[in-house]
Amino acid sequence: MNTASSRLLLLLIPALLAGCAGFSAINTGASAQQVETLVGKPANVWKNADGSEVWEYPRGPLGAETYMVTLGPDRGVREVRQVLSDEYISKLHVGMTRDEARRLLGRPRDIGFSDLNDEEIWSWRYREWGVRNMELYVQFDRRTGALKKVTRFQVDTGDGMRK
Amino acid sequence: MPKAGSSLLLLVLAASLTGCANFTAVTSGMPAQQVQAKLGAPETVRKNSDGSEVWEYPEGPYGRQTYMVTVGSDRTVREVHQVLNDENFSRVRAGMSRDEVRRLLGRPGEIMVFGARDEEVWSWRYQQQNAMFFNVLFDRSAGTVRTTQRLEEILLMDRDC
Repeated sequence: MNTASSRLLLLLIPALLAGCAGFSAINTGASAQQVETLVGKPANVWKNADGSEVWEYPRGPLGAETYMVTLGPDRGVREVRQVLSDEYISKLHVGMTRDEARRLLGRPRDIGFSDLNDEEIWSWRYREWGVRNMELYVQFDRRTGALKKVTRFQVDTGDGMRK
Repeated sequence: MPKAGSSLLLLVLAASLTGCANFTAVTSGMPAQQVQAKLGAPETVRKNSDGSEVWEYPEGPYGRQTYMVTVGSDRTVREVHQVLNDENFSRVRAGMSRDEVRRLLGRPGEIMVFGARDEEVWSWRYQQQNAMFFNVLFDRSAGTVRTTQRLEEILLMDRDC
């Protein structure tokens, strides 16, 4: 690697880290505009019946984190959650719909299919304890759309950089 | 659990794994014809350059064992191996072809296809102390292994999975 590109890399690393750091800079009560300034526009917005909204920020497909920012009806931040963690994964249950799973964990990294039992498989990468690379597979019955199975796998090699 | 109870459980478990009983009856030196009589036709036969063959017997998508019977050029059994184990899993390397993996582990129980990342996941069930899964992730276009995964935990399972 030549000097110019290694310098570029050094510049890029803090920029990449800042992507995540941005979320910790969002304080409760911050305005919607402040959120957009800090972390950009969400990939998806969920509107709740009480007028509050949840803004979804998947840091994918490479990222192992997904942030959910809840804004109250007053457009002020109520909470910021990183949902690709055991706490939220443990809320999955058999029979759940795709939409419920999406609201819980955000957009999957990829959606796959298996002909064996006509299943649709949603997958997320995440880091357990911030170190171990894990892959979560959530399998739905393609016809009924109901969640059937959740498994998590440890990735054998450290290949977080694959495409 | 009392000792008698756990022994009984072991007996029941052993009896329920009837698939394997047949394979213990296949021994080195046995004529190939007898193997077919005991086990039926293999799922796949691979011919080696020295005239020997490898007969593959997967148990099916939910099976936890796959046997490979090597038949020598003299048409007798050379060896019998159950291939779904850690030793074989650790032989899977990045860059291997589908065929190389297939020769090592036999037909996968399930194949999942992921479009966005152009990936094909081959999955095998196997048995350790617990029911386990082993996954091999291929680059779909290149047809080569990207990485492998071992089951950490089954978090939820519908009764008919």
